[in-house]
Amino acid sequence: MAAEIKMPQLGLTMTEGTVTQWFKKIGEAISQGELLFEVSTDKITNQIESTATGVLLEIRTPEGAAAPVQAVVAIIGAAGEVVPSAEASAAKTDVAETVAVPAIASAIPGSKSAATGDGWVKASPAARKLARDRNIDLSLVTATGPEGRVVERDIEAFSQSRPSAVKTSPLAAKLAEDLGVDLSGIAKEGRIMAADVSASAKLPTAAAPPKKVQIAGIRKVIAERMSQSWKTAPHVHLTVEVDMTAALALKDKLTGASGQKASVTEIVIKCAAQALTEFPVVNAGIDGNQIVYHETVNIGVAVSIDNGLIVPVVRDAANRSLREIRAAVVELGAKARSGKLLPDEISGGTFTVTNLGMFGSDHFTPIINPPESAILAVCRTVEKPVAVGGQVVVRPMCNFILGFDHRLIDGAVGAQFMARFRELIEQPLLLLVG
Amino acid sequence: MSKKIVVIGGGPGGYVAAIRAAQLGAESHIVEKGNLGGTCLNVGCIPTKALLHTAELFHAVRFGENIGLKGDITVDWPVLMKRKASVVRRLVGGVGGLLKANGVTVHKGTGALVGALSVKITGEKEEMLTADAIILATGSIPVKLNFPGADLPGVIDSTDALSLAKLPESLALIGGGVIGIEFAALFASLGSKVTVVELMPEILPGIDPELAITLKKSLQKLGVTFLNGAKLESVSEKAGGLSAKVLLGNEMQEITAETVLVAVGRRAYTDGAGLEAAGVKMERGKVIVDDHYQASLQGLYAIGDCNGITMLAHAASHQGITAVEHALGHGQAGHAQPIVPACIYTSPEIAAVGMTEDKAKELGIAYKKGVFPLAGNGKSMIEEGEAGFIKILAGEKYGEILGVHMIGPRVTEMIGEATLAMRLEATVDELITTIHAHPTVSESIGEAAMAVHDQAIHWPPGMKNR
Repeated sequence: MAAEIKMPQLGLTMTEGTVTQWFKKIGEAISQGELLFEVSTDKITNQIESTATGVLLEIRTPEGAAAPVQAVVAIIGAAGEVVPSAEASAAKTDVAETVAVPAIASAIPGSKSAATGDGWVKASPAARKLARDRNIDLSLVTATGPEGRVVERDIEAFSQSRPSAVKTSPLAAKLAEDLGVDLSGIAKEGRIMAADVSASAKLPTAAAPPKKVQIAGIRKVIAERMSQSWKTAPHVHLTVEVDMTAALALKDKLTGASGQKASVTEIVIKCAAQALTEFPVVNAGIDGNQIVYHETVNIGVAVSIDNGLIVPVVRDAANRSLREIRAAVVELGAKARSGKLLPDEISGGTFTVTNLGMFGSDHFTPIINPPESAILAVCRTVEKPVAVGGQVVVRPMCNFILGFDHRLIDGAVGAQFMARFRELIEQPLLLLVG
Repeated sequence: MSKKIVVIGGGPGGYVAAIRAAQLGAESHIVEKGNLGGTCLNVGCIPTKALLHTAELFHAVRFGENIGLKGDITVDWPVLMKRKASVVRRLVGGVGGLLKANGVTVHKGTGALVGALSVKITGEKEEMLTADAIILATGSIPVKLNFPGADLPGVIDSTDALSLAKLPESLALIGGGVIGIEFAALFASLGSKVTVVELMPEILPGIDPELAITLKKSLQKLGVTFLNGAKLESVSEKAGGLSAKVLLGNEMQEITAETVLVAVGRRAYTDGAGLEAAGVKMERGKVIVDDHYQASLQGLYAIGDCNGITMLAHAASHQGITAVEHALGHGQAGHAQPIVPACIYTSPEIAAVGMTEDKAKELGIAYKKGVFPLAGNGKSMIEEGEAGFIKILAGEKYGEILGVHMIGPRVTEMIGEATLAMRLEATVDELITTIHAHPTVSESIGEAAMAVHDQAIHWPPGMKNR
């Protein structure tokens, strides 16, 4: 009678194994206990011995091939015996395993555990299934089956003997399953009842269901673009703390000189534009496999609107005066809030400035507005004690954070860009130098 | 030092509480003015069932041609009365023995609350007891109806009905509740001509209406006449008996009967217990209690009929144990809604536990119903109980048992299974997979559980089961 050799389960998580070597060739004689083949999983390699004696009639899993646990990998039988077809043997389920790894435990008379030195436990399929269902570690079970195998009754006995982890009423069990409550997480002496499960699940009693709104329109665009940016561009964020004394003084002078209210925004845009002309890669973008270096510096200014965020673009900021930039920002901002921006006013940006300083933010990490490769975050300006020439003085300080795409811009380049940006903000006269 | 518990009232609530207190190591006292055992043992459950037992056998034999019994038999009324008294005496004596064996001190007399935790006993001698906790278990008395002729001889209440000098030839029964219906079944089985007068449109209010109608039909077969939606106006003497005037709709009807039995319910009995003076919060004579049966005064508990929650002996016993354990710092949290079965000892019997369909609908609970007619059960057929049925209500989603309603032979002995199932939060699946012995009526519980899934074995699919 031919014996089936099956892929053993070398650990509870193993689902398949690769036969790395056959120690016998087809037609060779083998006796029980002799090494037959070697199995590898991603965790271990084991040499498997045969429990059958006879002739190796067939190898169904050649070297290098993988087979699921319990699949028949070889047949051992009498010389000349007709081998049952793979289909026929596959139809038979749960036949006793005929493979055991070198068994230490079974060799010792009176051994209590069926566990072998390498963690493999001999057990009947029924016992194995029962143990899995009950989450029982086979190696802890006392084996009473033939050859020290763990059989079904051993699992039953083990279940009986160990203090039941959780006792529940049938209703509590059903409720827990339905609500996804982990019964072992309920601390209670005695039997867990439905009320305990409900309390554990913290059932919102008669609470109104949460309001659900379809993601659509501008929210959908923002969602798609932000997740696209975050998923494709490896972001680096780099923070510099800048002394705003000179920039604020310049703003006041501009207001006085023109009679129109000036703001730090246009100074920031102008300084960023100047730095961008000096670091073309920060003003670049990725288009497929290509880096696109833009000829002009078009700076998007993030504007918060009722239902989201829009980024109108100040074109050619490097070549425009502070006054022109100011006028553009004011106009675009007004149009953004009244929803009158034209398509070409929100496209073609090469860099973005986003300011949350008015909300008092001291630090944040902006997400790049694709297909751009960098974004500059502006925080609030706040008076701080700083050391200047060995003296502690109070200065208006502001954090600027550059978020950039590391695929294009290396850390050193980003840092140099920000150093130049700081230099320009702290000494705006340099803008005149260009 | 052990705590001291004083129980006022020796009924099934009180004596059980006193024994439990003694078991838990307290110094236990019980005050009883009459016989131990209360209404239940002396003038309630036990004597009525003693009479019903004889009535049932008498009826079975008298109409026993179909089951192979023949012969003239008569009821020996004085012997029946003696037998009833003997059963009562033995049980009352048993209670006394149990109290003694547990070291409970029994005080003969009437107990009244004096201040929060003191009891004054007036009886053969006057006594004052001070306790760590007092358990009021003063029970209930029959509600008296006021109508012209209420004091006439022959107009009796349920207590009187248990010790009549002879079996009345005819009986007008005022009240179609549980007590009235049990008496109707009793006297009708013994051969009296019984007319039931019930104010409500149906008998047995609060019971599953399908059970009530089934029982009504069976009592009608016994010769009981029902006047539903009828109001007793007056009783007057008439040659050879009494004449009861009953208003049925706009029409006045006259019922002639030897005896008029008024059984319109019972009310909490707290008269003279000094509760108002002690400042105990009450509502229409009932003591208001919390989940542990503690009244508005710390250490004062009220259990059983005197709190009016569930006027049943076994509910009183359970409440007594819960109260004592709480008072002595033992046991679990109180049960806001204990699961209390209820039984009606007629032929056929009725037993129910949990909620009715009406209640489930009122609470908006989605339920499934499984009904198994006892016509599909062998033992029921043998016991001539094919008209009965078992109805199980189960939660729609999880199949938890919400209520079990049974009418048929021996169902009062079967309600324990249903009660335990509910107590353990079993679902119909556990009832289905529980093996019921054959041949028993109880097999039908499993069948009714299967019927919840429309899969009763012994009933053809699709055949009407009600």
